Amino acid sequence: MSDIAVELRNVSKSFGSTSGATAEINAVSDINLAIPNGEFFTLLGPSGCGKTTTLRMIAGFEQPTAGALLIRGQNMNGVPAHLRPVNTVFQSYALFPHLNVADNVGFGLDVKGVAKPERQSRVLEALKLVQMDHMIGRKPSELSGGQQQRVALARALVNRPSVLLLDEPFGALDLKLRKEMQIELKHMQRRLGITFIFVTHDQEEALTMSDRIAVMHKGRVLQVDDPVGIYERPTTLFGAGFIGEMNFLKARLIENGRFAIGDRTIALPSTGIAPGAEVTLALRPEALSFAPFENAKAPLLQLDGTLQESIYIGTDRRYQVRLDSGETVFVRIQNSGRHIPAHLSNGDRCSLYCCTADIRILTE
Amino acid sequence: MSETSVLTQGQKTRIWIEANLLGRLAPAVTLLAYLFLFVPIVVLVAYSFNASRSTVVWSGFTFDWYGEVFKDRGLRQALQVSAIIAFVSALVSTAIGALTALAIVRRRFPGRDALATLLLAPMVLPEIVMAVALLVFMVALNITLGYFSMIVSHVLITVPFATLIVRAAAASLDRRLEEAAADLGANEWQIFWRVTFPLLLPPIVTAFLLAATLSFDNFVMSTFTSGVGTTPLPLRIYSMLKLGITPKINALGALMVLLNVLVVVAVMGRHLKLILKK
Repeated sequence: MSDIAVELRNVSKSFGSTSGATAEINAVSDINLAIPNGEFFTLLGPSGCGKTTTLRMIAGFEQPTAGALLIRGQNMNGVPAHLRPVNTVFQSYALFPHLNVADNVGFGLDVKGVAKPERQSRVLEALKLVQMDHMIGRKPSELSGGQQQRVALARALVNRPSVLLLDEPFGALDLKLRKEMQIELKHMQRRLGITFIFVTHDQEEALTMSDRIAVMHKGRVLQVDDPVGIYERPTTLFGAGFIGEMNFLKARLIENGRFAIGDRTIALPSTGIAPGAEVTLALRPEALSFAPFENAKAPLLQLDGTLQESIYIGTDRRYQVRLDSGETVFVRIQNSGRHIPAHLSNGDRCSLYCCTADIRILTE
Repeated sequence: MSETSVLTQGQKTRIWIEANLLGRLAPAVTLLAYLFLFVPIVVLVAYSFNASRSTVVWSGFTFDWYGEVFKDRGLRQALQVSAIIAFVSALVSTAIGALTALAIVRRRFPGRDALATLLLAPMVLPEIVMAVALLVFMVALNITLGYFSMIVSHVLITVPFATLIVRAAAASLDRRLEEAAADLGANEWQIFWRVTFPLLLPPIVTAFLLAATLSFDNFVMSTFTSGVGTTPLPLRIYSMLKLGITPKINALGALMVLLNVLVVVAVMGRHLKLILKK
């Protein structure tokens, strides 16, 4: 018995065309993942990044063209979907339109030959879990999107899978309902202790719910880390830009530990970077400030420029500043915070400050 | 303060023409087309109640011709032959059509597109060509003309229609429903009988009824493939015409119209119930 629920070893998937007229498309290239039991794991990336293909390979709807896929330590290559110990919640729910709620939820138990009394009690138990036990006789067409979502969840959970796969399950819900379901699903996952593999393109959703996140782009896994690590310590340019808002500044390593940004130099650790190399510095809009502040961790970096625009967006105010180097950066200041620069108007000269510890150096 | 119109007199005239003439032209043409379709049928049904032997001059009301229809042994037998052939050939061609449609929609295999196109060939080939070819083929194989040869020929002409109907429905069937069933542990057999088949049942019933109707009033194929003692209704009616037209044929026609209407109502009734439920 292994502690790893799902493991992917050098898994690749390419879709060739049957006629051979078009080139093969690499949907997923050389993926390695190990997802421990009981983890809420998220595959995050834009559409076409291979996250859904990866999920479909775990479910058994697609077979990898190379590599090995293991579920609970057993090689799943060639094992059809109906013999795998996983269940899926589909993006469009995929409830059977000709069956009522109870028969939809009972479908998995029925085809496995679970006797009627046990089936009924387990269906009721699963529907209670998602608070849908009062809708037992309804047809899917008589349910709202959120209710269909809950039934789809119950239909998967009733089979007590060791891994639950969720393919953008909240895509069709409105924002308020989506936020409610996110919290509810997270609580449910903790209570049941089932491994969840969740696919989404919504970075906020991924950060809210996950224990760990894999950022995917163009069929590759770029980074696997917990939400804090993904947000605060991105390792790739794509990951830094995709998750949250990010400012990018061009810089060059002059000598060990000293970088040049425009005509300024700053001291930053430069392990593994060759002198003369061009790098990108990534810094969050909320890490920038209009006034110098005290920070014990690291020295401050000062950047001078001209304020171009300030936009009020509720909780924050967002400033667009054109630096003297010609690059544009965004600054985010909380409206309830202490350092609100009330005196600035468009076209004013200003200085931005940032703690050098908040700067990420990206080499690719 | 007088308001002047932004439209010129010419524009006003054009708008009036478009609204009053062109707008009414389309319904008028449609109405004429419907009259052309239905007036002969109404006349046919009306004269089936005519008391005299004429199908042109009205001389009084009677049900006698309907009695004549049921008394005619040859006619009864022809009706029975047609019903058996329509039922069996529709059953066979719906089964073939449904499975072919699923294969074309669901499976990927070399020559799939060619097969899908080739299947429509019987719809565009002249029926008489196929009938002659089939007759020559059957004679060569020493097959006695009768029920078997007629069923084969009717399956041949109805399969494309059955395939087309089921194929259209199967293509719009959400693929994920079958994946969801597999995900929940159903094997191929269970997926078919618990998900695919129930969801495709309405188009399959439609395909069956269309195939049965096409077979029931087929004339060309039957002319070549029917044998001694297995004359179907259309051929029987044609041979009766040679002996002179009587309102008995009108009565028979009226009964066939009634049968078709009942079938349509039966199919529509299912849909109607669904609509009313919502």
